Amino acid sequence: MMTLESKMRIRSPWIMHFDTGSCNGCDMEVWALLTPRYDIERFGAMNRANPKQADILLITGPVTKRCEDRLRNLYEQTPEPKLVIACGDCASTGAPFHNCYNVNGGVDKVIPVDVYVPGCACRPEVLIDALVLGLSKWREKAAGADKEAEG
Amino acid sequence: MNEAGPKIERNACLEVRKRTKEMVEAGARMIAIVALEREDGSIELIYSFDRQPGIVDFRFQILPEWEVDSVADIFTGALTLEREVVDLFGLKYKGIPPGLFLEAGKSPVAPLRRRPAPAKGGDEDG
Amino acid sequence: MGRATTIPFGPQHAAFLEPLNVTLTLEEEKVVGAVLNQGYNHRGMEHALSLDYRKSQYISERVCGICSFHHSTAYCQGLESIYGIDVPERGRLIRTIMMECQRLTSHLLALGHIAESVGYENLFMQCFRERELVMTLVNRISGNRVHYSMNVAGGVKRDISPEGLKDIQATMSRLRPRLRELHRVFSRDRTLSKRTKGIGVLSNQAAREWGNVGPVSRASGIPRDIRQDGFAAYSMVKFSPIVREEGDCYARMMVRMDECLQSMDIIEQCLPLIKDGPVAIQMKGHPKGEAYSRVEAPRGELVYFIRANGKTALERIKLRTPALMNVASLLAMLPGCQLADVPTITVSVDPCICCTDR
Ligand code: SF4
Repeated sequence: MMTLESKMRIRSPWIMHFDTGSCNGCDMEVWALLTPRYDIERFGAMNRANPKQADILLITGPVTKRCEDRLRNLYEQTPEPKLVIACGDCASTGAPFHNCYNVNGGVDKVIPVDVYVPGCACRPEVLIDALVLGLSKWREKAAGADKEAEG
Repeated sequence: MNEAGPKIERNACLEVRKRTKEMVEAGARMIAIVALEREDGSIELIYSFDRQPGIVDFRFQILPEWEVDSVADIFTGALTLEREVVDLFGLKYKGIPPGLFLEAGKSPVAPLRRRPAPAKGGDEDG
Repeated sequence: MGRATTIPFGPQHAAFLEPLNVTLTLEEEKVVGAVLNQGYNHRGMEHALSLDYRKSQYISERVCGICSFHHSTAYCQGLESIYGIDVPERGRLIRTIMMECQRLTSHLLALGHIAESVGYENLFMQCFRERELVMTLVNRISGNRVHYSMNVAGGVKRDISPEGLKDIQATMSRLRPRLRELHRVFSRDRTLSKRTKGIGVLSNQAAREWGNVGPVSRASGIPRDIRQDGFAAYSMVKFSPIVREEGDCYARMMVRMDECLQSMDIIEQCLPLIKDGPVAIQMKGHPKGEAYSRVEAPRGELVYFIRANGKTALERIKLRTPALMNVASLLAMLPGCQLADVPTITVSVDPCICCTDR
């Protein structure tokens, strides 16, 4: 059983985008998502710059050394249940920046990731797909969390 | 290209302010400070300027321990360029603090200095 | 006089696409001091670029996704001038067209952000809608939306078909009235001009001292545009740099808007010039020598310095990105402004942190 709150939240997942050293290619595509052509407000998603209000973290970039702590910080501030989507090749594996000395090589080296989005740059269509996939995962998570709260 | 490169000279390193001033007074805009490590371990510094119709530069070679004069009061924009060299090559500039790009304790020190290739970004084991 | 307060601005902030941190010292609502903390995006591209010159075209695009084609053009031009070869005319024209397309997408992004930073959500959406036209156009031509991967040292590796050329022409004709409309809104809208006129003034003198480049310097009355040097095919087309004197956010915005229209003109001038012929030539051996290479990226002059010594690894490759100079000059613009104007001013220099930090 889901509580009313979870049901509401799944209808309007608010996303927060954070760039951890990407090349901006994926960031632009994340922004393209918010705009008329791809428009993820259809799914009730809205961009919030505030981690406290966010349900989904969209992370781009291979996590540079300086961003590491910030990312952890943001992750901790986001209320449960939360979902992390790593956008693009460099957020998933760090591949494009393989030889760079100042990167951690992927978001999952720092925080747990739920959905990996391939592509350099990932296309907006794929991001929408990832969001929908993420939401179904999120439903499971929320149901689990609610059960725990009840039991 | 000058194969042997300029001589390693203490004086050249002190004259940087004078030469920059000449350039700036002639209406040139500073483009970049290129630092590079030569085979013998000395550092070559190239100050390049945009003076129409092309790029002019002056270059000199120093030892990494030497302190270089800052030209940030002659050309304000040079500040960032100098901080970059301080970070990436570990050079000393008079009155310029490090820490523009690199996170102390996490990033490698003077990453562009060390040879051969220092670190792999992706996986720690390389 | 109130007590001075210090507030951090960023690195994760609604107004910024990217992590930049500005620590502001405030007296009541007035900004009296600012300190920039950057480096959140420093990955170490110069090291990665120098490892193998044959693979660096791939990496040079990943320095920045907004001006990726300019980066790879600058890199390839550098190698070409070390080899001492001339790219065939068709190759140069294709490069020019792609560069201008990318300038369009980049400027529309910047304009949209300025609109958003003053709270004009509608206009932001409109900018992005027109931008999608160009994005889909380059997608049809190059197969990619962001990293075109069309450059190689020696020319381009992907030709534009005759249908492609017609497609470009058709898209430009569709885009023109829409951009005219945008131009009308940007130049006439009262709210927008109230929020941008006289805000964040960068005087001509200051712009010279800080070494500003690109639209920011042109908005402060410095008539310098690297495209006039005639790299790629810019010597074959007619245009003159767009210069404004005011140096405020409005001027920076309008320079970008006018440059969008100018980009379309340049593309349309290039199209009839394209003749049949090769698009690239092969180069032999490893590079040996030294070269500067400059292109005018959307944010200004982009410089690559390459020194090669006949091995696959380059001895040194140095990037001086335009945003590095422009972002630093925020320190000259921010003091004296109101807190509410900080996002607008910051966005108006079009900070591209992935370029700045590399
Ligand atoms: S995956 Fe590719 S396009 Fe996306 S941010 Fe990373 S390098 Fe840029």
